[in-house]
Amino acid sequence: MVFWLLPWLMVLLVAGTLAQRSIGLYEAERQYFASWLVWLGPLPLPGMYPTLAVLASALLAKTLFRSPWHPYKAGIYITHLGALLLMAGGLLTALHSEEGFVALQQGDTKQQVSDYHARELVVLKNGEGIARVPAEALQPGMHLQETPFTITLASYCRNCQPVPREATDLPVHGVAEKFDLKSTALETEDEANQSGAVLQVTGAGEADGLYVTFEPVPHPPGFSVGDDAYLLQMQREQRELPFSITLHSVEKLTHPGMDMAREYQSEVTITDSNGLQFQRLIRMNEPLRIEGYTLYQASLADARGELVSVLAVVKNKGRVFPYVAGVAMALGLLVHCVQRLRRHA
Amino acid sequence: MRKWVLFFLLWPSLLWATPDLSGLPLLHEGRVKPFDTVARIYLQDIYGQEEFQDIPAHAWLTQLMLEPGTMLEQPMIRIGQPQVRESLKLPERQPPIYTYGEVQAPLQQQKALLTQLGTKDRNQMTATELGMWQAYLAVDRLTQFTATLSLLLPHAEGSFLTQFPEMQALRQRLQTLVNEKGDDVAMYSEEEQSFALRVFRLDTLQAIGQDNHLLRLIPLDWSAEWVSPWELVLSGQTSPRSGAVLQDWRELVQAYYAKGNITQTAETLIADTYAASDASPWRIQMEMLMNQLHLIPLLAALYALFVIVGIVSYARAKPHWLRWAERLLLFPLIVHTLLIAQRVLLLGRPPVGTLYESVLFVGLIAGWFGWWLARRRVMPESALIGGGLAGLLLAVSGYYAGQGDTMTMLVAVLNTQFWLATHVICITIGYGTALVAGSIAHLALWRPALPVAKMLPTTAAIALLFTTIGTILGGIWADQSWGRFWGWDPKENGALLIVLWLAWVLHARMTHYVGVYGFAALLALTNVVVALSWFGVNLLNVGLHSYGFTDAAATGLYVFCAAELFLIGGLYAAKRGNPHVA
Repeated sequence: MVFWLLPWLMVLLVAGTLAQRSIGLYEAERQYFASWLVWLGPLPLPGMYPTLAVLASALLAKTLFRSPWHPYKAGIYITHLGALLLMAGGLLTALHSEEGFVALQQGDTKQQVSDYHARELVVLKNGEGIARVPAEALQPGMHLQETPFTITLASYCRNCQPVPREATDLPVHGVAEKFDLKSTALETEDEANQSGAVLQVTGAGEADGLYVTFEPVPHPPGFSVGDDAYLLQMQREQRELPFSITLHSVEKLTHPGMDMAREYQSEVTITDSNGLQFQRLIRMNEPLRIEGYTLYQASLADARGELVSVLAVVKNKGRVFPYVAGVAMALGLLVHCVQRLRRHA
Repeated sequence: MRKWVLFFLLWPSLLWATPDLSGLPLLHEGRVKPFDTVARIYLQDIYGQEEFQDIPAHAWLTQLMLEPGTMLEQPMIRIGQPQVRESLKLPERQPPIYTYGEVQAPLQQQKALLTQLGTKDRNQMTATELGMWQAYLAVDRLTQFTATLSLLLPHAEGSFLTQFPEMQALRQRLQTLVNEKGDDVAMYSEEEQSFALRVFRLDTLQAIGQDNHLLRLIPLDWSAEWVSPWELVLSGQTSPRSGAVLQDWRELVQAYYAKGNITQTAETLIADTYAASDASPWRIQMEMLMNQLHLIPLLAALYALFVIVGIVSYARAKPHWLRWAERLLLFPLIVHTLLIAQRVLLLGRPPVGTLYESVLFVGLIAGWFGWWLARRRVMPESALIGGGLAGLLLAVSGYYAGQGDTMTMLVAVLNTQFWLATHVICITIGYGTALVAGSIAHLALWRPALPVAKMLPTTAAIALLFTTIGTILGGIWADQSWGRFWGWDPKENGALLIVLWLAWVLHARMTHYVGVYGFAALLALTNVVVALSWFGVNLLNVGLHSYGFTDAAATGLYVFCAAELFLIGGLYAAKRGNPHVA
């Protein structure tokens, strides 16, 4: 059976790769590479997780119990051990890795990472989050806030399109005066989806009515009740970092006489959890590693003439495994090849 | 007609009087290269040959800069596509080469299309759109060349440069005139008309010149940047050394028109350009030498000769001939190695940054690997296979060379010496060895009695070694640079697919799931897996590694895969049907 798992692994790999053209990397990864089941129409087939789990178990069992030791097979054992380590690292990464980004303009300081994919709906009271609901948990009719007034989710869409508002008896506020949101087909590149929600506030006096919060709109809708100011914000999920990042400068270096970039770099100050500060330069292919996180220069964006440095932030507990596994597999294969060549010599 | 007669009468004298600037360094597309290289690139693009009517490319470009009016009368824009000629309403002629004016005028009518094409990816263009865009580029480049020295060329009132200091005053005087008499020149006196025309001419020259950046002839000695003469003058930023180079150009133009000592001025110009820049004389000289040697056609000829000798030897079953063929293979392999070494020396980086480079490099690896296997005396046929593959890949690389310089700069993410030298080199060695293993498997299917069949698992294991190390190094590069080992990018998946395929094929043999012929057939299919992983993923146009890919390349890939499946299936079926085969 193990022998036939490899072709199935290749089928999954090819199918997931081809699917990227139509459904994008994120969806393809979710459906083929990070899945328990793959659906062929109504037929469920094993996804990447069970395939790798059975492969790893079978390989381990074979190595331990059904492979009599022989020096001539040393290369094969080492290679198999490397493959097992690689799969173990893959499991750890799949379970514990986090990816996100921080976008900074010169002078900005941030301590939060935005997720590339996950969205959340947040209610802020005087700048403090009092309700935070992940997009997956959003259900029309659910209450985000119940006292002293109620905020109810009227609708949510993962990828929204603004449409002219039809007449309604309810009071409308902010952009909701002119626009409603309509769900539209998901984009191939998940990062391009624009989430939004329509919320209804009741029991707040003059602030009662409909509000539209939409990712691309820079200023989220808000209202005041008494001395308190409330904001309703659909945003990328935020995660706290154990340190803060301040951007001092960002630079795009080009090849002489060309617009083509040869280097991007950001000069940052990191303030760690103990309050210690240090300056670092983050460049393409030269990331900064700190407290289990890797910060790398992902891209530069232009925000109304000012450069924005986009630093990707990754946390991966399984990162040491590929190194050990790589060395083991390379060594094992090298030993195996040398032994074979000697036999032929 | 008179112009033509005059031109042909003057032509030899112009040629004789053209300064030799072939060794002049200049900055072009991010790299300092000889004037000769730049001239060859553009002449090939515009005219389709590396010589213009028996005149070397560098002399053609020099003439364009020094004698723009005369040169633009010459037909030099090749419009190969009938649809483009029809769209531009060009008269049919053989060869289909047209003058600047003939092409430029109808292109003016196609502004809307050209604006649209300007924003379109070249790989997404149809053949006609691409032809139209190339016609536009040819006109644009000729405009740029002819404007390069237009600020130094003599006019009735002197050159632009001599009048430049008083430009502001001249414009103010003209404005006063317009305020007084309006903008209808019919109201002006003859002298005023002449003055207005002079200012208009200077403004037109400047308007064209201020966008002139193609030929960056003057180094700024305080930075790695180079600028065109127009940029230097209009920016007002200069230094004694940069100013000296501009002065040399001025003197060259003066000497040319005064029929003075242009050889001496050209030498001074080249020496001063070196002095003001960090251009490396040995690199420039080496590139010029390589331009003259025409290594690619030489290499193609050597591979062709080797393949012919090899096939004849093999067909006539002459083992000692095969050994001679094996020695003969060393010639193209050494030239091939020199070609790649030259690229490494000129670019200062490993020779695997682009698809073109990787095809060239994989060919070299296939050639050396085949030769090395042959030297082990186990399978002399492998030299023929390796050399044949190297020749085939050289031909394929010609397709990816595209237009322009093949020694290009790399985008920021690829601009790393270490990872190019480790991951990319290793994975391309893996491709080369896998292709040799797959091709030898074809032979093993065809001639099962040959000793090559015994070496098949070893060649497959060597290919697996390099593809595995290369793939893991790619993951480590990704982790070092981006904090994650694997991103499921199509190219990453393609490399992994080769690793899994080779591992599966080897396990199939070692565990006796397949026999000798089944193993040979599966290993032969490695060529299809490599082709799909290496080139096929570009069809998806997604991911960090996607390169340009065209319909023609896709068709070629499909044809190759179909032919391979048909051939391998046929050979395997024939062996299976043979009762004498165990």
